[in-house]
Amino acid sequence: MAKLMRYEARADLRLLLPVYAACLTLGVLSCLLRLLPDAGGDTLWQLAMAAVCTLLLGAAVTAQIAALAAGPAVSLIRFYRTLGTRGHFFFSLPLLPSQMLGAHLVLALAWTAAGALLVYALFLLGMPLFAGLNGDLYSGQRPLPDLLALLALMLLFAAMLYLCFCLAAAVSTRLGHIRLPMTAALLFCFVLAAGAAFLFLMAAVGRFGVSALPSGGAPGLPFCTMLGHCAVPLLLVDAGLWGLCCRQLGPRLELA
Amino acid sequence: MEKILETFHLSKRYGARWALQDLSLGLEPGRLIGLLGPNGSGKTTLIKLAAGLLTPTAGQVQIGGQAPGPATKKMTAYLPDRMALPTEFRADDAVAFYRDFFPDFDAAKASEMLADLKLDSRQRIGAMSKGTQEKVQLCLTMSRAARLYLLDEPLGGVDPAAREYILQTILRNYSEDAAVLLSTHLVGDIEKVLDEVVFLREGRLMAHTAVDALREEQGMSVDEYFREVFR
Repeated sequence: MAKLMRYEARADLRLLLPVYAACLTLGVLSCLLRLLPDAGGDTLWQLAMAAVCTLLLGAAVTAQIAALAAGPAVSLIRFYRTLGTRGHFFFSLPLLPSQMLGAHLVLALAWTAAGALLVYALFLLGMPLFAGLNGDLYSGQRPLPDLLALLALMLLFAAMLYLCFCLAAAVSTRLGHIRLPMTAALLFCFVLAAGAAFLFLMAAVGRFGVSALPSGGAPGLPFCTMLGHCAVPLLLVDAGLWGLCCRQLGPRLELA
Repeated sequence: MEKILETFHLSKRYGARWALQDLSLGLEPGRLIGLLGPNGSGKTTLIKLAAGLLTPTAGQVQIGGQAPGPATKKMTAYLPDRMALPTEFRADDAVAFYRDFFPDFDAAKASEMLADLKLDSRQRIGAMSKGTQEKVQLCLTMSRAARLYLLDEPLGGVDPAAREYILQTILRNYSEDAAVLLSTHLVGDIEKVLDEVVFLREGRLMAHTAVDALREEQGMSVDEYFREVFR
């Protein structure tokens, strides 16, 4: 399985590296916008700078969304192709089908996390710019909890995106008579993972008190903290269910 | 002699259609066996079941006394009826991949066979012609010292010169203590090298006999017999 993951990772990186490189380049360039000189009274300069900033920020945001979505998308497309003509090659390798599925799932998770961390790092890099644009949004009174909450939000978004793609794969892939139970199992995994991520976010709210959220609307802090401690066991149960799905799914994967 | 491939009341259904029905068969090592039958007779299904790409609806298939799995895939060399190698691979990458996954793969032999094709080893497989892709895939398969070779329509879709090359490659490179199960419609081209033939019709076994015995009993070649029976 490690050998297969190495080959698959190399093939995935051929497609993902340009996306990550574009995201990083545009993100860094957009952060450097704050180094631009002041326009003063020059209207033409103001217009030109506004156009450049809009284009660059738009491109940077698009690249960041692409970086988040590219990882699971590439893994999913390559998994689909393994169920097609290429499966005649890959399924003849001396591997269990569950190992093959596991390799794709692990890599999809790794690329999703990599994309999320890249976007998060760029977001941190650009925070002074965003703080300058809207000083109320990040008051800077409790920077560490704010950053943790942002990380939780980013990972939650990435996890939901990843699980949506996996759910789409489960629903539409050719699994014969086990399609419905598998879809139900994966849907349950999705709900568990989303629930765990939400509880983790609530824990961040409860434990640290995120200044970006309106304090009047947040539920009782101790209750949030308690709920947050359920997130880790839920994630472990979710991981166990994924493993069970792989074991059940493996022997039933076949090529028409 | 222990049979290398055995099926016991093997059946496979796709939806409401039975591709194979109650097939019981045993193949011995050291034989070149032709799997013959019209379109839809179950040849590819049988080969895929033996290769572990499909699971039976009923019955069993055994390779060397074991059910298909990672252990049997190590001793089985499978050539599909279509181009299945990743197209982004170069010829070198494909050789390295086979070397990594199959302990019985002879990389030097594969490189020599690919050199005979006068290929640029750095060329991507996707950029090669269909015939060249088929030959590359065949060279990689036949570079393995497997106990069972499963070749699904190796002669289909290529020109007569390429067919002759493919046939010679198979004959020169398979291990003599291995069994080669080869499905084809081009009976005339392959008859002279076959030891045994298996005839399938509508998923059922019609005949499994030695080629010489068939010729003696029927007084006709295998090709003529095939045309007569399946007309």
